[in-house]
Amino acid sequence: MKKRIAMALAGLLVVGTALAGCGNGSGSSDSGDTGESGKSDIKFYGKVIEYTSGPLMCDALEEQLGGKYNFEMLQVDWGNLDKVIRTGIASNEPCDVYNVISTSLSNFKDQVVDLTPYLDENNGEWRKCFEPAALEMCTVDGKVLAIPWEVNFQTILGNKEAFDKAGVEIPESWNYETFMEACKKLKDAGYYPFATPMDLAQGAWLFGNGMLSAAVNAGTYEQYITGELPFTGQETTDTLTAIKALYDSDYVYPGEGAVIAKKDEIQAAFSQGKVAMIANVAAGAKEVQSSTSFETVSVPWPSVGDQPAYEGVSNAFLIPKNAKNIDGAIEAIKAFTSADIQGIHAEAGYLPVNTEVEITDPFVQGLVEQSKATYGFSFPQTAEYRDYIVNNLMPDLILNGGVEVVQENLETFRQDYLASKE
Amino acid sequence: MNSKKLKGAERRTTWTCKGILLIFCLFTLFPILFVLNTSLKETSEFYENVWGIPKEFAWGNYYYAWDTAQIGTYFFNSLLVVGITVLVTIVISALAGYALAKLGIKRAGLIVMLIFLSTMLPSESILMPTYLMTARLGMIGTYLSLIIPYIGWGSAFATYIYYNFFLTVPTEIIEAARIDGCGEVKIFGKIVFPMILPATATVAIFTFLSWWGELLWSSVDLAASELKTLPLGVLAFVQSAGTDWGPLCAASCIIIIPLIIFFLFFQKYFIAGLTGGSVKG
Amino acid sequence: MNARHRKKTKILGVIFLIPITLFLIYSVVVPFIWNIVLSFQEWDGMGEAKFAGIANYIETLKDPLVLKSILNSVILALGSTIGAVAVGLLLATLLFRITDRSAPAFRLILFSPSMLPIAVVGLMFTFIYNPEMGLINSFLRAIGLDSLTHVWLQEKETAMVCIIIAAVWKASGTVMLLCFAAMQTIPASLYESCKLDGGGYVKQMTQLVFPLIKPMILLSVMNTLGAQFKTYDIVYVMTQGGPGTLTYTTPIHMTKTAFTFGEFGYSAAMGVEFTVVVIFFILIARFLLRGESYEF
Repeated sequence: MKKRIAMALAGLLVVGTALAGCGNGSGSSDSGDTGESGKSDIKFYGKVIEYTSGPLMCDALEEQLGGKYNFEMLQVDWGNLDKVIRTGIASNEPCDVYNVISTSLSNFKDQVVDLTPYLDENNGEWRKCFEPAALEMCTVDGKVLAIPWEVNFQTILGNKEAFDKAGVEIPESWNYETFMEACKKLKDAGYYPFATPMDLAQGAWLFGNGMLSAAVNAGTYEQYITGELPFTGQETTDTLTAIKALYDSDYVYPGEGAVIAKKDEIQAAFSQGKVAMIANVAAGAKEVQSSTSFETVSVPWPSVGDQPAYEGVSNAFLIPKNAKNIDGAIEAIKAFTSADIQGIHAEAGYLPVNTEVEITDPFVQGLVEQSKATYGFSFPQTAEYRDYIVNNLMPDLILNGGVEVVQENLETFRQDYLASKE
Repeated sequence: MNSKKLKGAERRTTWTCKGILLIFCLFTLFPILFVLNTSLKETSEFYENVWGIPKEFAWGNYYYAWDTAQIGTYFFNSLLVVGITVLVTIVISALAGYALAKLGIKRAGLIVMLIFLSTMLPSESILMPTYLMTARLGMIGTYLSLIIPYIGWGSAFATYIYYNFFLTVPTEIIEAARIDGCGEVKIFGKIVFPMILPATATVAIFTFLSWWGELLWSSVDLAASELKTLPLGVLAFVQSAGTDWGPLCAASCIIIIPLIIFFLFFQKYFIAGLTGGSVKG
Repeated sequence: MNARHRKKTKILGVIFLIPITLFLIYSVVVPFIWNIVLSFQEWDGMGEAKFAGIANYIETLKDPLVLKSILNSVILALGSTIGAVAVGLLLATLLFRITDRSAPAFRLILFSPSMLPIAVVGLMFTFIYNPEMGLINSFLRAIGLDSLTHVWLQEKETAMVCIIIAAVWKASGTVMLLCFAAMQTIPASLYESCKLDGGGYVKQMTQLVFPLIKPMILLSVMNTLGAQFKTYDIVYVMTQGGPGTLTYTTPIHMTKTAFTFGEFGYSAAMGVEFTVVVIFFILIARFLLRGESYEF
């Protein structure tokens, strides 16, 4: 009896949901069709809700263009971006705009619209709005594959109290020698001088910045980008040796486990006053700065050589080739990166990419100044290389063999890259 | 006199059992307390004070979690999806389990094994094919796109459980009912099925639990749709630059509550056997 | 029962099996076949799929990472299954004894680990295993056992063990529930006869209950084994497969290969090989724990 009722109920529910489900089959069959009001649809996968400005910018976009388009603002799921984009494109019903991190653009290079012609229209009208460094980060094989709306790079945040106590002055820039000296003084004053996260795809910062500054200082930046020079050269050796020395001298929190330290662990240690400097994403810097009980200041990255150079990434929008509404997507992106909406972003304490935006917060202004020295050094732009430097380079350097092992491995990736270009 | 001795020994055994269980409970309760504790701190305070009691109780986390993670809406979605999945899974698995155990299907054991082994394919391998199939049917982002795979993926295990439990039912009872002129479906529905309520309770709890927190398939299927389930709501706090632990823990606490209720509700069907499986006399 | 009746029940049996067959075809059989076909192709998930013969399979044999990740998966699965079944069975045994009102509370508490979202579980374990301020090392230092402190998630010997502990913690509740449910179906009459023979609780359990619920124990083993082979979340959240590739498991490798590197064919080939490995171990478990099922 009970079972029969259960079966009947189940049957009803299944039928009911089937009807509901069909009704709720939102979006997929509708995108690109014009609704009764004559508006076309845009699926905008770009709502970053962790930024206070994220929802605000999306609202502003809808206000601006809502009369022309039906927007579906979708929340960005950072952890699953790869899966979301690949499955979306594979199903032939992708979103019109996808937010990506510029370093993964090469994964999709054959599947997205080349935006260079749009930028160069009207004598480069649109192109002029952007910081050139930001656009460079979104360029693969000479083509601009995504439009940046935010520049992000790695900064170091410092505990002012710790620096004062150790008698160290924070310079405008420093190289690894002066950096190591400062670390020694901080260590003697009782702090762990430095900490950098190894998860959240942030494990490549030390190498990235080091290699970049080494190449810029040696004038060989262009050759490394194209893959001409091997990784067994002086720049690489200097970089890797400098980083290894940092760890071997026990300057990195928490000492033995530094190579697997997670962002949460080091942030806890920093907040508790145990660590003098932590590496942090610029976009999240303001939040950390305002939440510590001591004064937090921005500290430059050490460079290999004397001229500073920072590796940057941008958050950017790409348009899949099989998107239903490419023109609408372009217009939406143009509006999103205009000075108005970018201004919202800046006000909230983040780093806009539009050159015409005014910034009032001095801390943020300092970060923006730093961002001007950023490069999009992501050679040789294969997913395997990227994965290696993010996840495996540091363990190989510190735990599994050292400088030569790393150089060997890097070389195999360069060879693969060169082979794939033929 | 003998009974008194037995009683004393019995009581001692019971107390020993309780003692050991309590120790285990400490280990299992600790994480829940940790989550509860963290849910009442601002994330910045959490970093300064990882283990201790919050200095200021951040009740706002719960409101923020409810609001930002849209827990209300997603809760209903999850409830609908998982609820239907559980019901249908119970029905079709019980039918299948019974058929294989008692209705004279040849090589039933082998079939059950095959069904069970079919679930051994790694989820990652199933992901893309399922997505493409769902897309071709135009069902991406609908309730059905979640329910049908969930039923399919969960029913194998449920069938196996039912199969095992049905095997323990004495055939004589079924024979007796047949002689009495009872129809097969009635035998199943009114006699045999109620005899193994613990099985149904188990399947219900497992199925509910398996899919309440499912993330892999739902994060891909629902990525670009308005429809979202509860676990996806929790993702709102996992950001590119770190995670907002205060509200995330609050969201987790909110999510666990229906699980606890569901569990407590179905638990009492376990007690049916406590009186010595007297349902089976 | 005459032949005609027998035939009728058989037909009914087949009818009963139809719903599940339909669902299984959609959600398991088709993807499985698709996956096998994919393993003979080269596909990046977005463009055209190219036929590649057995190139993928040969590639997996040449890649040391494939073997390493399978090995890690096996260690993780075996370790956590043995642990979870042992603990779960023990808990069910203890729990079965409790008949007063504290029982539901115990059941709930002991089952609760499986209810927590994996992200917070990961957070908690991060701060337990942290070498500087984590619970374990702080505790060891407090009682003067400094020499026993380790960098738990980094060292070769301890990393996998730590993950296994976390997995056992999460999975034992399930085993406990299954065994407990099975114990419920044993009629009281059987207990009486055992008690009259002078059996204490331990004897009752080992000589009466365990053999009777052996099928359920086997089911728990197979289910836990299968689930632990598939597990991705708990490893990823604790070590991301690191440091480097120390705790790489096959699901992690497969996901990365498919979705980050865009090599779905290669990933599918790994999937097929992995399925074979998993089935192999499940069949071994089945062989070791074979027995008849009793009607009671």
